[in-house]
Amino acid sequence: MGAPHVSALGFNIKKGELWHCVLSGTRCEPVYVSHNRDRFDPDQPRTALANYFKQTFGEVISRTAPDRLAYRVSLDANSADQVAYLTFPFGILNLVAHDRSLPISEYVSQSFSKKALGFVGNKFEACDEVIAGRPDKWGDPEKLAALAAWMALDA
Amino acid sequence: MPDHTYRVQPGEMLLNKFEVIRPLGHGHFGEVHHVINRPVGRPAALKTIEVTDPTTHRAAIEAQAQNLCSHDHVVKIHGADVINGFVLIEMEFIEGGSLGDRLMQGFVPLIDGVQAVKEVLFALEHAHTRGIVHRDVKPANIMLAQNKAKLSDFGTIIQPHTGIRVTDLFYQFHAAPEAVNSGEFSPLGDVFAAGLTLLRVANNMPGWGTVIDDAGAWETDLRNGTMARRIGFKPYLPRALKTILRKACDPDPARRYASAAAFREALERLRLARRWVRVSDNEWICESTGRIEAVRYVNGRHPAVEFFSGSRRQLDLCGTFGTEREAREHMDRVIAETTMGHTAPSRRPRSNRNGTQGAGVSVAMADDIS
Repeated sequence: MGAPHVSALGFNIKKGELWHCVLSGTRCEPVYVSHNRDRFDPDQPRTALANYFKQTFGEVISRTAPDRLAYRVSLDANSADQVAYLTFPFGILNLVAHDRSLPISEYVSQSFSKKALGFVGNKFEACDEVIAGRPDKWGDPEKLAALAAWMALDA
Repeated sequence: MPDHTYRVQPGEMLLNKFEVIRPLGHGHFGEVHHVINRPVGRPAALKTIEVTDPTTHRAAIEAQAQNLCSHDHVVKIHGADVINGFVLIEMEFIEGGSLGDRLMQGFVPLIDGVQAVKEVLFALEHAHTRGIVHRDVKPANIMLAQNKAKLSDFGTIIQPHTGIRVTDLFYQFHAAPEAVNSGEFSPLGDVFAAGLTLLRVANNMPGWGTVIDDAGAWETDLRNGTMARRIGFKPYLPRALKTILRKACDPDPARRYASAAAFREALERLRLARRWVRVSDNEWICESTGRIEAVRYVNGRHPAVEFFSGSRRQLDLCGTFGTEREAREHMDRVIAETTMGHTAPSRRPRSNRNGTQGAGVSVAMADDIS
């Protein structure tokens, strides 16, 4: 009997929405476990926003109990306000990972390549075609979270 | 250590460790004092609970549960001692007092109250994932540390799946109907209590006032889970908040938010923008995008409402009215709508029946929660 597969929790952020997705299995045979969205107010003060992300990351990690973490960092921020909710939170996620001794990996959209994940065609379509047990309908934001988790699985 | 009839006095040294500074409060289950833990030089809050049977250490469950639920938004436990008929629980000392104290001292802006309850909902979700139900969520048990609200007093917790609890008592006024009627305790009961807590904070209601004057009626409301309906909403509360509170305080647990996290996420979506402070019955002020804004009721032959942003009068929100009631309704609507958005509500002008001009408004004076 082989070693049990690890589970990876991937995060993706867009304005006002924090998406996460949990996958298990291997990079060749990823298996969907769960996904969800937490909404937030991007206009709240920076300190309150930082606390929101610290608590929410902690809550999601406690609930899903992953073996490792991953996130897709967006390079689209073009103002300080956008940096505050698109980029800062992942600094906090790294601190939470450090506190909980969880390995964490960082990716950008370009990381989700055919070479890295072994799919053919479009990466969003690959989520539908390759990830076993995936939901019938899921959108691009949650697929980006899934792709981050997929990257973190063992080859 | 003192005997069972002993009361802790300021200046006293307990266990050769805690120097008692002053009392902080007391409840059904013990007294809390501000102390200094001298060996480590740490200010602390020390809860002393007299117990009839110290061999069971039942009161120490409170400390164990609070420690198990250790979280940024839970008051920290430093340690506990069981000695001579007393349980001593050393906790983090929070200078700011409780949300209940804040309500007693003056007006609490809605944005502050919602933030405090959101933070406590993080703590409740954390406790629920550890199988703990708090059973005593109320403004007096939300401590206000610097920039942070923390849940305190785990003296009435229960772990429903094991039945482990400190006491059979729980806070009745905020209890869900399923707890009052059939002793069912679950995270949904804490959601209900957190909803009632937020309702009281939003209404700036430090005590129960006339709500519980009629004992028979409020006891019926407790059993039916309609306490929130009895309290009602202040007219200046935003409609979206009322919708959230109705769902949190629904008598039917199946129609409530399914978890503390779901309740908190609904509050996250509110996006409150203005921190209105009620200066008097006739004036509200806030700071918005660097400017002081004020809404004033002006009495006169034609009662008026004025909205100032800095020194400029915002004409689309001002108006004169035929009656004081109409003017005050307009003021409440302006507060409710501008609390929710960074931009002022759009003008809806009309002539009222007295021929005076004002933004069109139609707001019930005291909405019922039903």
